[in-house]
Amino acid sequence: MNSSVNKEKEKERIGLGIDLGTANLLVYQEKKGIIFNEPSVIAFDRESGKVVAAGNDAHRMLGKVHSKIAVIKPLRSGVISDMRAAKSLLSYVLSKIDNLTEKDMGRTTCVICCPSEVTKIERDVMIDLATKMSIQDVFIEEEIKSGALGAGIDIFKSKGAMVVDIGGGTTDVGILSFGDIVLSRTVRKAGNFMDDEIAKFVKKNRSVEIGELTAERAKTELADLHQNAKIMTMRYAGRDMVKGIPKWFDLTTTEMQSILFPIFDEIVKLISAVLKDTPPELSADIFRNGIMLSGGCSLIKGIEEYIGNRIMVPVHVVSNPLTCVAEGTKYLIKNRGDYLVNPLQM
Amino acid sequence: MDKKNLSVGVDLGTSNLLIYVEGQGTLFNEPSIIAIDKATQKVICVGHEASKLVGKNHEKFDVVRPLQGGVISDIELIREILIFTLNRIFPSEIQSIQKLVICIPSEITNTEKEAIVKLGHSLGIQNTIIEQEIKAAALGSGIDIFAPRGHMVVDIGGGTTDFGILSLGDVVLSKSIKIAGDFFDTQIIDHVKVVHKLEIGLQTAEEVKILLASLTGPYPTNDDDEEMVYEAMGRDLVSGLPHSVLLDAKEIREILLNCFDPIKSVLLATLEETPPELAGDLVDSGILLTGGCSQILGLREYIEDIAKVPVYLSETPLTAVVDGCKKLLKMTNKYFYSEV
Repeated sequence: MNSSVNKEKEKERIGLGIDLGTANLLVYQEKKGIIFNEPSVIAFDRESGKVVAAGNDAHRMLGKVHSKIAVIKPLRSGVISDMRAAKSLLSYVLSKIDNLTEKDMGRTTCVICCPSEVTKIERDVMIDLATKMSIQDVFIEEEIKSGALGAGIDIFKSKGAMVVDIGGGTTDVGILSFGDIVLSRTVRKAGNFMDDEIAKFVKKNRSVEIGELTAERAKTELADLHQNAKIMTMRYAGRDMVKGIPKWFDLTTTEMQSILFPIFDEIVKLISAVLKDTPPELSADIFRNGIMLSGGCSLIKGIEEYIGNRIMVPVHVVSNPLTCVAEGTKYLIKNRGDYLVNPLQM
Repeated sequence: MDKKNLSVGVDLGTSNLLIYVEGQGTLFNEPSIIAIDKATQKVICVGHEASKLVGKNHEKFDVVRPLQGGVISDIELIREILIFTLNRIFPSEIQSIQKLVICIPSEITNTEKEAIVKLGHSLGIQNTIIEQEIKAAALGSGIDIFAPRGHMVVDIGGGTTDFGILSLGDVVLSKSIKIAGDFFDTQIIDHVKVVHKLEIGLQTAEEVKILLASLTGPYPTNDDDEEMVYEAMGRDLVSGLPHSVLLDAKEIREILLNCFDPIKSVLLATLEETPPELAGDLVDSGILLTGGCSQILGLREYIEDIAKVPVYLSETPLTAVVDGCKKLLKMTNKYFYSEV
């Protein structure tokens, strides 16, 4: 009796949703919720090839390691650039899950989310990754769709919704209706690009070289897109390019705006390009319901006002901008991406 | 008797040899000088006894520093000095050493490292580990080098001045220059020879350095608040007779400032090559000065003026490396040891 119950339990399928983002890796496990939410960074020992750290610990090491450790970001601009590192990162995360052994991988269904405009090859690499983990049942979904579901938008009605996901590597813009994507576009400019621009600005105007961690910190502390934002001055440290010695420098909100405005203008341009191609009936819906913003960069202050003023459509940031993609996989595992099956009612 | 239970740390410095034994403390802290009989190649004495013989030996024996200028000049002598001292510390127990950590200057090449590891093996110690002095010095001075945070250490020792940037438990970048205590001594000898026409010995020069050295700020004073002078004795070059001159701190400072010019440029070169993220950390965490010569008056202000970051002096400049050995001996994991 007991053994048959156990067998029954063993046969139960495990559902995994993976949001393999450029900045953060999130893993959702069916019935358990989000089990991992940390930066997608991994650190190896060069000599032995062993994993030294992953996630938050590895992220803190960026730009600060000696030659015996390699710190790698397995993704660049939304796609896998280092297969070995991506695999190690994922294995590391999955090894943290209780009651999940290699053997269980065979009965796992896995959905991986990717940016909208990635090539067939880039998608195949994602599937490859899962197959290498000995997960056979894999399918790929667009982040936009999962994000919309995770944010609690009912996309299964015949009603248009627009989602803008500004993440680490890519900005995705998509129109959804009746359970699937009508139209979506991607630009490979997002959080990381902003960090690079900040580092470039500091190099040019202050003659100080800074690392990516410092640039990221400056962005989260100073970025404010409000027209009359409160001017703040913050102090950061880097290396003086002329003298070579460590040096403090100040950065203000106004300067940060001058760096970020051109990037957001480009995002606005992408949004209007998508809106231009949207079928008129859906346009009407979007005009009424507004645009939903998600992704890490939607946390920048004043972003609703900035985009709203330029597009003339109400803009809202979703309540869970960082986790909505992973949370959306909950539904996608249920309906395997089929628009005819409404998982919200399951 | 328990077998194979001793852990030993060795700081193989140019000027001083320190040996630390786990549970027993630093058992040996003497100059790394060895006196050896020329005919039989037998060790006569090491350490203090040998250093007293420097410049006073007759031709039947040699007094040698096996680590000339921070590099190994003769591996056989290193072997002799190690065996001799280890035997003296624990006679007949040399077999019971289970783990040996040897700290060496950062300039040492891989072949030399291998030679030292082999030396350990030939003593019957399989677990022989080589570490950079810079790393041990930082650990010994109480810096948490295992955090992902940049630290800089400048170790001005006897033979070399080592510069190192540390993060995550290891050396990110290190540079070394063969200008340090010994070089200052020879510069002082040269100066006295040229200016005062007097030949002085190494020991005298070292004493002059210890008493009179300063780089910036006020000159060193004696108990009565008077500027210090030193009566150096030696051989007059003109007459060939024993003679003495008075040296003051002013001329010593001039010599030292000249010596520190190359140190300054290597310091700047190290900072220049530091990855920007770590350079940013240095603004906070500063530079740690260690090694015997870090006790020179005004050195802290001198370095602070060049690097424009806070500079700290190690509280135990002479024993920092061996203190670090103590911690290295306890380490099991390579990168994540934080219980310091």
